[in-house]
Amino acid sequence: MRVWDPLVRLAHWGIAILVAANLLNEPDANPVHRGIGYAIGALLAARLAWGLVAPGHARLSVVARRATLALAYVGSRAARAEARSYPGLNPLGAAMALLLWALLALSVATGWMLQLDEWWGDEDMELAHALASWTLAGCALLHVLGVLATSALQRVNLVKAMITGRKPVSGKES
Amino acid sequence: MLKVFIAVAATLATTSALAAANCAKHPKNEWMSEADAKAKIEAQGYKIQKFKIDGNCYEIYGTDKDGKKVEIYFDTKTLDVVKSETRR
Repeated sequence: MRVWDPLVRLAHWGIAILVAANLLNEPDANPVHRGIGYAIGALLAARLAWGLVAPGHARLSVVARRATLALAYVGSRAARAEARSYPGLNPLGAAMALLLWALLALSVATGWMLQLDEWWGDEDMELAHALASWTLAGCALLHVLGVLATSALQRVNLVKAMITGRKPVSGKES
Repeated sequence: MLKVFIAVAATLATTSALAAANCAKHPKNEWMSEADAKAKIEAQGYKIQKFKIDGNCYEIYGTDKDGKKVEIYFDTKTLDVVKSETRR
């Protein structure tokens, strides 16, 4: 079945590539780093705006409700047996999505603030931006590991699902 | 997919990583004193908002004589401009 619409996929991979690029990118006196940061902000804004109106599991309220089940999901048999009944994000994935969005927003916001007159060259803001960005990198790594682990446990290729938008799903719709 | 992903990210990164400030390394006793460096930079018409040591560079955040925001990297011995960016 179709699980991820084109906007979700574009935002997902666009943000992933641009964040990876900017983490490796020289941050100082570098218009490219700033430009990439704005592009990330635009993609994030588009994804979150879409999340307010999107139908189904791309909707933010659906993701948020799903995320509240994250703790119960961990260690439960659901992680293994019932997993295919989640066409969208499983509870742990939903919690991670919220965390990644929050860190993205924080990173983009602090990066943007750094080029304002008030924080031009400000060490505290630089530290905040670096912390937000590298915490984001760490969580993105956990996200990838979680996706790979879930894919292996549940014998479903979640990476491919995010590329093609399609996932084999049995059981109930979200 | 992973290979494409890494290739695109690496390309985007290296296009500008090459532009990183690469100041010549001088022994500390050959460095111009910070006070002298600041005075010379200000004599060129810059206002210094932040003065930092970044690796082998002196670095300032401030404004130029037209009030535009600048970020400039200087050689610590000769005070040559190694890299700079002017905003707006």
